[in-house]
Amino acid sequence: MLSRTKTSRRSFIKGVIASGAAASSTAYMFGVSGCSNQEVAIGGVERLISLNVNGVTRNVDALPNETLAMTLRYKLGLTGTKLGCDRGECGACTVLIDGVNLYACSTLTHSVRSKQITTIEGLETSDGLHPVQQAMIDELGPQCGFCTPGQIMSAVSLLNKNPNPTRDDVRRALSGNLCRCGAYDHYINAVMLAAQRGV
Amino acid sequence: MVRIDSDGILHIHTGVGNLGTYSHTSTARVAAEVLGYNWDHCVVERGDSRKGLPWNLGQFGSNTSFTMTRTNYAAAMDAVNKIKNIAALTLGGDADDYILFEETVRHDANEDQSLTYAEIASLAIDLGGQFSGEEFPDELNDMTKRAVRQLVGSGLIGVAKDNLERNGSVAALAAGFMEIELDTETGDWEILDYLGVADCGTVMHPLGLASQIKGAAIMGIGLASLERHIFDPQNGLPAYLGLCQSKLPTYLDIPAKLDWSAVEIEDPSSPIGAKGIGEPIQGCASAALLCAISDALGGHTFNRTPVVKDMILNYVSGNQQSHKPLQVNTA
Repeated sequence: MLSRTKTSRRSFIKGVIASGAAASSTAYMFGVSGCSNQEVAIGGVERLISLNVNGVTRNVDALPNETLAMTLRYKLGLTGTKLGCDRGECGACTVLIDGVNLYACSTLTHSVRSKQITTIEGLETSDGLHPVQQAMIDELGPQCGFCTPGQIMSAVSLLNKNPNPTRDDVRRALSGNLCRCGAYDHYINAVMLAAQRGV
Repeated sequence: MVRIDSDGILHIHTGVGNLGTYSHTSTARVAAEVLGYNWDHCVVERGDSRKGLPWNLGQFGSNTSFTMTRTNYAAAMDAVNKIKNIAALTLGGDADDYILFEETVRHDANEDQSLTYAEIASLAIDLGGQFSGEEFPDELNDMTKRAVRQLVGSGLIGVAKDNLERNGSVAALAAGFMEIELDTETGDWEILDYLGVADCGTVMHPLGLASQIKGAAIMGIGLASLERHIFDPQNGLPAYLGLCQSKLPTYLDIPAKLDWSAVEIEDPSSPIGAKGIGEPIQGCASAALLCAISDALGGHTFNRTPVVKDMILNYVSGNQQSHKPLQVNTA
């Protein structure tokens, strides 16, 4: 009886991987949310939780094995957070959790209930774009632009900790964000410009 | 296709998409320059056929800059002729007597005889016919004709097929220079310096060109040394799963700074001397890295790409390579 009610760490992770794989393929191939109940590999029901996203409390029904990237994109409509690989390799889904840059595809929504979540949509203020966003435009940072939200979130996290980085600091801090266009050099230029202007 | 509306704003309608190279804008600048426009008074209309977009070459490889600068040049020259003709019809004299100056058209001998582009556009709408797009050359592509019909009467419309002279092929060339440090114990290498030089004719958008030369170099580095695609030989199924098994270059695989330059020799086949960059700037970086690895290994060539670290180690330690010899195209 004990083993039926207590989920082992192993079976829990297996469940997450199975549902994550199913969700990522159906979401792209059939344009569905990727969070529906049919795709749950093992038990679990949606529970209403509160998330603090970009300073606003948002109530959302989340599955126990749902990733933050899925919740943000398909339940809260914050599609600025991109899903590239959905397996913690590319960094397109980077968001800030209590100021730390993390992959939203590898973060369970339930695990960030008491945290401050910042997405790319939360950077702009009434004064305009965030300095990193503005510098990205001025330095012609993005090419296709798909990885840019993630790159910007990692850069914001870096500049909050280290306002005067060297080029080498920037490339190390952003090395978890891949770019197929190879726009790295201009992304570094943009982060250096934002640092120079002051964040 | 270009359109000047009755506020005097130049709309450059282009079918060029955006892959991140911003070619739609670089090539549109040609039309602005031919008409002597301040860039702040120009709008690039793109990305949505409801805006009335002509049939253009899509965006790929090194073709867009060359073909689309010519096309925009042809359309802008058509607009120039129409502006001069409207001036001649309204103010008298011959179309050739008129010159364009700071978004106005004026008589060469008499400065007082002038019309602003906004006035010209209003006159074009009143005159109709070829000026406002009611009539257009039959040689245009059907899609361009539809775009003209969509915009008819909304201003002065300059539209033309690119019939400019062209001799031979227009080769975009590039050269890459690379210095690496190779560790023979790990097979790892670090790029110390890279310079990419493009022979792209007239430079239209320096920042965009810089971003393309560097971006292509990074793709080239990946093709030459990192992105190994392994397929199951029986069924052709990919055996590399995810980016960790066929890694594309990251920030840490490239130097913290890449350099670029352009030869800036105008190409005679283009009225503004521009030609493309596209693939050559990628290939030259691949070749530069392979040559640098080969040089570091005393001239050994692997005759296949990507040259991954275990291939370097196998060579250094005198072990047999895990891949079979090439069956075709062996040097």
